[in-house]
Amino acid sequence: MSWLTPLFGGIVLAVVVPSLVALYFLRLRRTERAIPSTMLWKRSVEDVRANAPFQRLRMNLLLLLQILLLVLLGIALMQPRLDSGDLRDGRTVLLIDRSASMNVPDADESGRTRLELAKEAAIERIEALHSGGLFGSGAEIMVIGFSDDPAIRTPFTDSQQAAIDAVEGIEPTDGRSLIGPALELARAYTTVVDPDAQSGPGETPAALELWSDGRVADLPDQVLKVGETLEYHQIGNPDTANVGIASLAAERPYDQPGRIQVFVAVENPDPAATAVDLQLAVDGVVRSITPKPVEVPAAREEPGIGLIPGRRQISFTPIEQSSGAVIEVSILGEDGLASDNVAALVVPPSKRLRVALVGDRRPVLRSLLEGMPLESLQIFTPSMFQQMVQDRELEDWDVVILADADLDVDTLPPGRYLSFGSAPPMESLDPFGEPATGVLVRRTRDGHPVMRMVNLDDLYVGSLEKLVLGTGVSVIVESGDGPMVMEVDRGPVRMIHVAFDPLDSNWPYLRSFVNFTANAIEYLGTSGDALTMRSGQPGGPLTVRLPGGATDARVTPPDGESTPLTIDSSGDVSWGPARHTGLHEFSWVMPGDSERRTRLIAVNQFDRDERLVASAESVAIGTERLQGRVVRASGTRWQDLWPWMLAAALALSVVEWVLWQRQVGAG
Amino acid sequence: MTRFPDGPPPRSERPTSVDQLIDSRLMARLDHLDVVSRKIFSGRVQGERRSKRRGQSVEFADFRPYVAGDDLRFVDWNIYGRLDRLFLKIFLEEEDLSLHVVLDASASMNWGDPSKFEFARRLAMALGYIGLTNQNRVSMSAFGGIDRDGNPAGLQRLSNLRGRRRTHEVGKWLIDLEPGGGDEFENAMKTIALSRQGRGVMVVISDFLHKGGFETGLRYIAGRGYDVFAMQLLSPQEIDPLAHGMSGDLRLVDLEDDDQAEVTVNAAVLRGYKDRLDTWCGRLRDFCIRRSIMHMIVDTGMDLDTLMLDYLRRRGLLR
Repeated sequence: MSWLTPLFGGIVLAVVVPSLVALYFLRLRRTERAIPSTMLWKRSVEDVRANAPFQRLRMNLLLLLQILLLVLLGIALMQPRLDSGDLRDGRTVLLIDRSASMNVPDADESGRTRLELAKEAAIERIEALHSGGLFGSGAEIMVIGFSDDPAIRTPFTDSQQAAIDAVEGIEPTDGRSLIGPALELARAYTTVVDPDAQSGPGETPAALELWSDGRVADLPDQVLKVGETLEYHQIGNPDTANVGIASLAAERPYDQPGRIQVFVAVENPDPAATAVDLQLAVDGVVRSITPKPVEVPAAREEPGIGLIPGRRQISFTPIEQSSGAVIEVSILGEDGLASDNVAALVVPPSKRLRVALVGDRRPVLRSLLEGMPLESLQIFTPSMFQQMVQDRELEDWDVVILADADLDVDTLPPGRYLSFGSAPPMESLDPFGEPATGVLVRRTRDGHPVMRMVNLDDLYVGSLEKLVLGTGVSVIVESGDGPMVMEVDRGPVRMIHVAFDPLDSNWPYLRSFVNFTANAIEYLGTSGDALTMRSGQPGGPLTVRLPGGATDARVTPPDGESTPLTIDSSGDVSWGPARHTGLHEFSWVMPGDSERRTRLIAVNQFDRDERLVASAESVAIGTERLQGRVVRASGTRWQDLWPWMLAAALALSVVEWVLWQRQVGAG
Repeated sequence: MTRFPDGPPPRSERPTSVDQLIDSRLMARLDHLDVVSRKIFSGRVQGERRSKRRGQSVEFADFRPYVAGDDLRFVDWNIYGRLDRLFLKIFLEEEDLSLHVVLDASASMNWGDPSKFEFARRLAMALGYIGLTNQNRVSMSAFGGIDRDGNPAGLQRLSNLRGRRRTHEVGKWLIDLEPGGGDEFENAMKTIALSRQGRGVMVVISDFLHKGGFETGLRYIAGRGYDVFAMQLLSPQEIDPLAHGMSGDLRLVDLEDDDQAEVTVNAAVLRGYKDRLDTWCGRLRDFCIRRSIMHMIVDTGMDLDTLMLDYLRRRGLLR
């Protein structure tokens, strides 16, 4: 039980009840009776008064009823409410988790999701915190919904309805749960900037209330500031189990480009082993189901490491698929979280590339290219290449390889290049100083597609051109003397540049040279859309490079709501962040085409933290551990009691009236 | 607007004839009764009762030595012959009895069911009838009444009636009494005491609820030759108010002086009232005992026959 306006009701009671008693003494309606003498009565009354001043009050039922009636009305004015917590003055920030794990439908027996319960409970909390009933001014409440990125649903407001609307407007996502940015955002609003203050900005710490299942990836990394408090409202069932797809990949075998090999990893974050059936579908048609349930081992706790989920990797039998396709792998059956039970991949059609090699003095490179399954390979001299540039005939080649070619051009025309040796003429690559000698690899970006199956530990470079890198250049391999391999993205010009001649190193004798060259040609030739690059993560942006001349670009996410996009100067369109898993369709119109061209990007939920959906009973923030207050699906909101008090007062007044009538009639 | 919204105070119907005051059946039963005085008084004429005053009756009382001046007719010559000394024979002289009934006609008596005053009027009639029947000198006084115009009537008197034939006169006087005045007990007793004629029995019929107290008034008539009987009439409503509907929030109005008392009648107040009533009556009783006044509490709910034929005989007023 709590009270919204206890002071107001108390004041009214303090004034009205004594007034009633006084009025009762002063203006009590009495029946007049004639008697022989008042002498004895007066004396007896005086005796009674001397013994008990409030004797007649004690036995006067009508007065007692009237006082009770007034007390009920006074209590009604205090606006009592059924219990739910304490009122709090000052500022409160409601942090509502809207990540993927909050979509688990285990909030209650009716199958509501955790987010739905969190929103309902948060609204009840707002009503509890907010004293803005009939008379109060109310606490200030800020509502932040967070997953990958935070969103202030409403800044600090004393309007109860505004706060409730803000909570109701929170939409579920399939993103990760990161609270750090949300806390920074909240603290920005609690900082008071006073230009006259000598001591700098001041802060009025707010009470933080977290409505979550406790699976917040970066919560242990946070620290509460002085004066801040955090209350954890635990949502969801701590026993909910879940198995999810941890990764999905597909590739066309080198020697069988018409086939697709699909790899999938399944993880189990729960302490009990489980078995799942997996299904592979291509373009919506089921092509394969695991012949028997895949056993996924239980997760285990490793000291110093933490929870290591049980993992099982499966590869499906290669399927014939020359054309492009949408590969979808599903875990059959139900578990806690649905969004990680399906993962999709968009595979481009099988394609053989047309490659031009500029510089005929590289027999090693030439023989390597001749061994690759290319559509065509043609070798040009630098002068021939310059002529082709002037004639604008480069459109016929998917990839142009510049093998230490000394080009006499101001700048490279649009195209995709793989360059070895001296830097081609580009603004972003500016050679300086003397070449470095005896160079070893210091660091590599192993996640880059061109580095697949590439190990440069044994690479020794005799002479490395030193470069100052400009905009649009990212380093892939770095040495102690500067970048060795880099990617240049200058809009229509895209290039992988190797800052040394392979002949000045031992690279041609290493397997990594072959793999690197093949990866780079494939990467550049497919416009950077390598098979494994065709998926995104919830919360991240989605970017697609469109052909030159494309117009009217749009994106249609899984919910079907199409959104127009702006094509930037480099021909890219970006959209995001992606909120939900599933296939996102980008479409555009080419001049002269009657139909829209499309490209699909799959967004998959592979986050390990979100896969663990068992609700945490306590959370750690910094060195503190906070026990959660379990939020149950009560199905009831704050119950105002004042209408009941009013009804009781009315009923009491009827009883009082009947009694009064009977007394008057009897008198 | 009526003064009393819940109706007038309880009272009995006023009698219009002597028969309504005392019926013939009661009169026949009262014929055998006589008023008894605890004292023996001398009267104006020789009556039917003994007096302490020695005189010329036939009933011998005593001897005493002769002194000069004594009536020689009462010398017992036989004793003189035997003892050679003069003794006078002393006889008890028979005198008539003076019965004085004093009636309280104040407004406080005009209350109750039956009305205390109507009860007192019938009681006075019965006593007067007994007195007249037994050839006593019957006087009656009433105080606190009002005249036909509603003004205080002062002390109303009816003096020295004797003989049964005066019964109607007594009845007429009683019927004409109109209760409703203020408390004049003290003045009335003073007036009666100062105008006392002879000795006898005085019966004061009142509720004795006099705000000025009863002591002074009774003191006037006590010890002046009267054998005083104080008959305190209380109605059943006064004795047990709760049993007769006295409850709740009341504004009590004094019939005599319009004094008001706001009372919430509950158990404690009722208990206090009864205590005060007992105290008041006890005070009256103690006062009377100390002054040889016979005090009697009469519940007006009592039947008049029972009162006359039983209660008053046991208390020694009648025989």
